[in-house]
Amino acid sequence: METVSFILFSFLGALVMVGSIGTVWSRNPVTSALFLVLNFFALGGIYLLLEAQFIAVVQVIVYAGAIMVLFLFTIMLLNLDDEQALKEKFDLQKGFGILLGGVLLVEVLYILGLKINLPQKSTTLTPVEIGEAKNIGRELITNFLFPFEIVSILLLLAVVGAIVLAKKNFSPNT
Amino acid sequence: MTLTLITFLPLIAALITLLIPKEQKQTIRLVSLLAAVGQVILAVVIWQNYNPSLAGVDDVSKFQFVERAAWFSVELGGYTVSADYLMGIDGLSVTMVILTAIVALVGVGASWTIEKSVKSYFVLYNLMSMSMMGCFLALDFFLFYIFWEVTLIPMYFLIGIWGGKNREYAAIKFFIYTLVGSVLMLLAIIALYASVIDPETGRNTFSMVAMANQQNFISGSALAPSEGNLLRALAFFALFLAFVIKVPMVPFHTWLPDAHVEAPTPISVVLAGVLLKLGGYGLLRINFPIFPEVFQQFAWWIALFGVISIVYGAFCAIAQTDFKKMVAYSSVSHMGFVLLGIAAVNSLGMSGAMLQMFSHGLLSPMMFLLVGVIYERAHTREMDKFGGLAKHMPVYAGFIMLAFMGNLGMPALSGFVAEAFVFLGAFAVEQTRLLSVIGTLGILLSAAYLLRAYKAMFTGERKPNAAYEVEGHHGEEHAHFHDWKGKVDLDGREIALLAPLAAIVIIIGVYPAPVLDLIMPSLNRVAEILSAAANVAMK
Amino acid sequence: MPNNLPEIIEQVKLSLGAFVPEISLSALFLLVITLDMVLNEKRVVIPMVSLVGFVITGFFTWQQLDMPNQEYFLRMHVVDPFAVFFKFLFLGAGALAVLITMDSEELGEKNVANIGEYYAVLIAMVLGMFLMASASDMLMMFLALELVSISSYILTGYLKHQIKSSEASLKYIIYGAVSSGLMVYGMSLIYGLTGQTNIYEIAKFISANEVDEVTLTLAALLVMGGFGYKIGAVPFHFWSPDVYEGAPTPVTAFLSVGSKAAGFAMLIRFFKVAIPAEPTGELAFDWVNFFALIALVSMLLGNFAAIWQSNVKRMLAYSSIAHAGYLLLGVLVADDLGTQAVMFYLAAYTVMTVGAFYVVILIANKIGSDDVNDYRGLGKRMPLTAAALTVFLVSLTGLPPTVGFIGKYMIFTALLGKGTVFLTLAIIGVLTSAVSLYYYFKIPLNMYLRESEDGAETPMESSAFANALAAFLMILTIGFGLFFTPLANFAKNSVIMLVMN
Repeated sequence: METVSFILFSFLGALVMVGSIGTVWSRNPVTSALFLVLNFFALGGIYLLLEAQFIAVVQVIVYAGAIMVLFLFTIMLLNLDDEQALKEKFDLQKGFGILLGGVLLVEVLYILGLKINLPQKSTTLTPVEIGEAKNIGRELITNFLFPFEIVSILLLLAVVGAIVLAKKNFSPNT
Repeated sequence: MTLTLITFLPLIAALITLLIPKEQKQTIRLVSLLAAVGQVILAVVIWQNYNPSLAGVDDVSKFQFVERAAWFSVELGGYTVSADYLMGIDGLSVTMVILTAIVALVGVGASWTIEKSVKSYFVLYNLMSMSMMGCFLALDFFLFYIFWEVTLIPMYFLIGIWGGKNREYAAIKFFIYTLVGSVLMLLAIIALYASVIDPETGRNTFSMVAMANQQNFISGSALAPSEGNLLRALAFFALFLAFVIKVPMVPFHTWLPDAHVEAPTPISVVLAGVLLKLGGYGLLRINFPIFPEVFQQFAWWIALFGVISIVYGAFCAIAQTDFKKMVAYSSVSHMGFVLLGIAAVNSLGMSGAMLQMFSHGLLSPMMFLLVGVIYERAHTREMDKFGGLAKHMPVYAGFIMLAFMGNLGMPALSGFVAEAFVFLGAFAVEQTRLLSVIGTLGILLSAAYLLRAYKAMFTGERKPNAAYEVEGHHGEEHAHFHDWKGKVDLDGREIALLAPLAAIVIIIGVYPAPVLDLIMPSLNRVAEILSAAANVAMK
Repeated sequence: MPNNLPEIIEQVKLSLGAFVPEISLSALFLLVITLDMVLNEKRVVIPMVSLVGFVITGFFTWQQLDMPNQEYFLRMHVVDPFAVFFKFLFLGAGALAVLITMDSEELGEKNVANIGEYYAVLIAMVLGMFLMASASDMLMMFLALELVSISSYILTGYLKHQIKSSEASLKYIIYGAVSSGLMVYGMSLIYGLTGQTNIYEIAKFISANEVDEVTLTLAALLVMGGFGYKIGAVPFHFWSPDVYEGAPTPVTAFLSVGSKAAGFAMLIRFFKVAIPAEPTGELAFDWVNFFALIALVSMLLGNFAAIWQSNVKRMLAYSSIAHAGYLLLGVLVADDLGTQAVMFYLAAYTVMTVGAFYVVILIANKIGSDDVNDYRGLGKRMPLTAAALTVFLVSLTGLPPTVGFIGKYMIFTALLGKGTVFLTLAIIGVLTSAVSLYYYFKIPLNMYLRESEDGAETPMESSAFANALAAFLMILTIGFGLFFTPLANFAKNSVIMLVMN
């Protein structure tokens, strides 16, 4: 069991990385978007491995399904061309970024090498039960009621903002 | 109320000026003149009622005209920070207050010819005048610091807007130089507050008077006087830097020639007459009495830099062809005497230093006024553009002669008394003997540049490329400047500005006792504080 | 956490009483959106409604002063004097932002057709800041931060027809996304280490158990990425010059004071509570030295880079980086005095920065430029406005008799007497503030010392309302510089933060 899940995890992890790198790397927006879909699917797989079946399903349906379809539609409707290659120059800012990234990588590797004794959360539920939609729902409207409500304001704000930025400016200047 | 009134009279004038429409230039000038005259009257009142037998310095009860009111008291984390509106006068400040009032009045008179944005000019002038006066009167370090910083902002604009061609550079240079000094002073103030308690209330205090007594330092605090306390030396130099930039001491003097050359005449007058004295006053009132043992440790170095200022300033003055620049460098040179005199740590040297501040506070405004007169007429200050002026401007030449003689230390004029005291004082101490001898070189050099300037401008014949023309037949020729409509020689206003200064210079030169009486008890007290620390250091 | 339902309901009911200001803001947010849809004349009514709403919220906030310091909403939301102080600050900054927006021609009828949503988003941003100041759970911290960030992106890009505004918004989003990503990663590491998201529980766990130090350091660094981005400190500052320049000026003003203050509120709470000193006095993660480094670099880079700027908004952006450095000095001493100094300084900073930006708006309304070289001769043409700007700049430099001086004074008081490192920082701090004089005074230099190129001297005074507001801020700046006791005492009483019992 251990080995199987390890192999699966490695495979899915590799897919996630390929997906994200591909998204950034490819010049064609459609390819980019498809790589992102790959990323989302692989991520859903990892959620499944963690026995979070509900989140895994949401991930696939909402992100990989609905959002990415919209994305692709938009790209095709706008008929975007391949993006122009930006002129790259190695400036101080970039060097600094690489330095910081390097430090970060070393530290992450360090943590991976550690055997950390993770504190156990006291709960009566089995891992499978935690991942169930029913339990997640219960948590959301009891213990996490407050953040849940704040998220609703956040979403409303995001909708307002999206409309503000997207709608045409009917001013005499434009 | 006297001290509050003398300080804030110009502020009232500034506020009134704000209400006057800017077209009514004459009214605006008169308001400022009234305020300045009021200050002089109050200064005379203070002088008459001042009891010279009280020393002051480190004892509030021996200050006079004391005004005290709680200003603020703020809980900052663990402890309370409170400052008082504390003002008072002792021998260190009384002459400076009188000097400030006189110079401020002369400055207003000299500002009469300013025509550009008169309203703004006088608002700023009065703000500066207020903060200068406040600096000499404040005994609370926090209050002092506010006045000290507030001098800078009006000064920046006064040089920057009404100055000469290179005024932007000169103004910002002046501002940044003095600000660098004073921001470090702020840190020293904070540290001092945490270390000193007021013996009367037993609480931490900003009172400079309490700080001047070493017993008021909390033992174990950051600045407590103890063996090898490096922080004390650090705080000493933070204050020292702030004050010597103002004095100015070589090598921190480079802002001064620029500021002086670009500033309009009245601002040069105030700058040389009062603002430089703030540096010397700060050293005597604050820097040295608070850290006497550090001062003792570095007394020789301070004297050395004083002498360097004297000699270097004089050499620079010799090299100038611009009249105003020469006078500016001569200021550097003469303010060096103040440092030398204080560093001698005896009452003779210190009284010399104090007298020098007073005397230079009268002579340098005279010089700058005189420079202003000729510049106004000829639009040039190059000394070799004249020649033979004495014939055409006899009164002017007379005042120049007097100012030059006073500056180079001719007997019977105030400069002589002051510099003689400084030399005698410094010579009496073994430590500074050699330095005082070198310092005399400064007098020789000032004789050289002043007499050379006099010769170039006033004696002989008109130079071929001169900035003025001579017309008429031999024997009855008269001079005129190209577009100058006024009198060739000094007019009434100019004489009225110069004559009182000249009179005081002569009176003090002949009979310095009144001034000495005012300052001696306090200076003796400062000398005591400083030498006591020397004795402790010896042991 | 309670597990049975009735108990939870009881707690939520109780918590609602501690949530009135936020509820009032949420209602205001919805009200403004609704009004925007039904009203025809929006340019006066909506700002007025917003202002009234802020005042009502202020009243509810004021009532919170008497509430017991406690966690609410199942340990997600704290009400304590510390939070209340910041809420007042946000309301003040928000109200000022509304006022200065009304006068801005950039956001005027000619340029922006729909202004209603602008105010709605602004209110949402204030709400986000409220939540930031109160958040005691990492989840809430993240959500509140996002609420503020998303509002900022929208407001920054509000001038759609201006390429600069859109560019600024995009840059802001990208930097914001990266730094909140870093922050969430750091938070997840902390959760992994301690199994807790509540900062008080984290503190309890860290002091009771052995936690791997390097991992904790990395996690704290990553979390700092999110906070540092909000406060605009080096090296998370890259967004600020472009955003300050591109955003509509009222938004810039609000971002520079509100966002920064909210970031500091959260940062102070997080680091003081979650990573406390151990009984030995050592920190589980040495954030003091880390902050010292950030503060040092911020002061140096901010002040020196500002020297080369000629766009006033850009210059103020660099200056705000420097001010983040000064504020961090107050944070890193990690005692009540330092916190009080930071709070006072933020209040002072709000007054003088909003004032400065407001004058920049008034000037831009007349001359249509933010370039310092176009400010020539303004001293004569707009005497009151120019004088006000000079006072704000003097205050930003930290010269008496202004409130900025008192703020700096408090920060340096907090630093002294605590060792050589702090003394060195204080010395560098005062010296860089002397440097700042050079670039701040480039503005008065142009306004007063130089004549305008065409020699124009015709007066261009703004409206009476604008003059009154500028004068009011100017009087506040000087008034609080001389009589600052009430403000300082309020800050002093507000350093009380709910601590673990």
